[in-house]
Amino acid sequence: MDAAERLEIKIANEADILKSRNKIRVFIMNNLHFSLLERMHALTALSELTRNIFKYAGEGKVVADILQKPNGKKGIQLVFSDSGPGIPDIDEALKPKPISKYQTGMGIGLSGSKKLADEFDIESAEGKGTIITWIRWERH
Amino acid sequence: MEETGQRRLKFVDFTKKDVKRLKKFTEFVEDSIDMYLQDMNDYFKRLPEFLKEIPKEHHNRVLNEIPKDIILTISKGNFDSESLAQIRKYAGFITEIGVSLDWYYGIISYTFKMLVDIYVTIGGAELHEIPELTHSINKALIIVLSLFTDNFMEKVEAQKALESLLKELSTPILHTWDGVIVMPLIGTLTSDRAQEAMEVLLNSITQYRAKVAIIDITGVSVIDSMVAEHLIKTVKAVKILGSEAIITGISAEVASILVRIGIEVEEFITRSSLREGLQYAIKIVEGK
Repeated sequence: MDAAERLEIKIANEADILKSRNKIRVFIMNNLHFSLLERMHALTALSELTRNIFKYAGEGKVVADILQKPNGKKGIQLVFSDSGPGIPDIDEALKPKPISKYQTGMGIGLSGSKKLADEFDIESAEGKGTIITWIRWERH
Repeated sequence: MEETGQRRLKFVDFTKKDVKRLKKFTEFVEDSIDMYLQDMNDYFKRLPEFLKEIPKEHHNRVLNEIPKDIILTISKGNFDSESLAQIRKYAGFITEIGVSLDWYYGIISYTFKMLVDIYVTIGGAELHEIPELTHSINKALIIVLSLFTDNFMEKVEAQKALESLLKELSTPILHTWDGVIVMPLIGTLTSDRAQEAMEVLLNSITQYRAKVAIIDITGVSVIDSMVAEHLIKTVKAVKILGSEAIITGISAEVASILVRIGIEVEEFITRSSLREGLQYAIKIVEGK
């Protein structure tokens, strides 16, 4: 099957959060050998981070790419970007907080999303918007 | 029902402490259960059990509504008599539409495993809380399993009752004429059934003081030496009771099979149709 290896999704309203989840679910199923649990991890992180885009920046986008290592192993890279207010103190934002204190979506927060990733990167500064890179590799 | 509910909770020692431990996890589940069930729908739909054609109109109920309700009940630790009864109802519904309960229970506990895994991975629980949380969840899952098993046992009992009813129905005795009884045999005669039929016939002869017993085998699909043997035994037993047995409904094929088996014609009184059998029987009864 000829599957697209890049997917770009605009996040502009709440409905886009669910739409992106559905699209990425299919994207993963078509391109990667993820177990059900791994897929759920990816979608959990996706939901959380797109919700952050919507909540803090109002709009942004997520770009999904299939990566491939030299040994043939594939993975998914999700890049979340927005031109919102940015994160002033990244270290503070990444500190794990008790779940019930969160108001957003499932409240897993940035730290939760990071835990679900193999590789995780945040580029952000106050007033300069945010770019979050989230990568997860196939296990077999 | 109330007592068994409480007994169940006592049995696994599910207490307010467990409810407390589940509290944070419950919040996580409440927020995300819809999404996760959606994720799992694809997975469920590919399972062979599911491909065994669960009617489309039931898909949403089976894959979304019911798991959601059960999972929320479990994570809230809410096991009042109402929720227990509801879960039993669900189990009943699931079996009615032909889904096996152990498969379905597997779905529920698998979904749970997933939820716990994600919750733990993203740091929803302090490290020391994890074993306790898992313990409480397991207790709750056992309660649900026991409710499913209840339903299963009910089904087994119902099945047994149905089978014995079927046995009764398949050896009916018709009391047609004074002193004449007819036993139409239908279907495949297993050794059990043949034995059963003989006992029923002999009892009926005594009960109705029948002089003649007509055994109609038009509806018997397979005649082999085993069946023939049973027929011979029955005829002999009827003679011992002082009555006569007439076999009716022997087709041409059956006749040739019986000859090939080596049945002696003299051992039986036969008539080709039930009607002729009855006529003969009435003659005997009125003659005596």
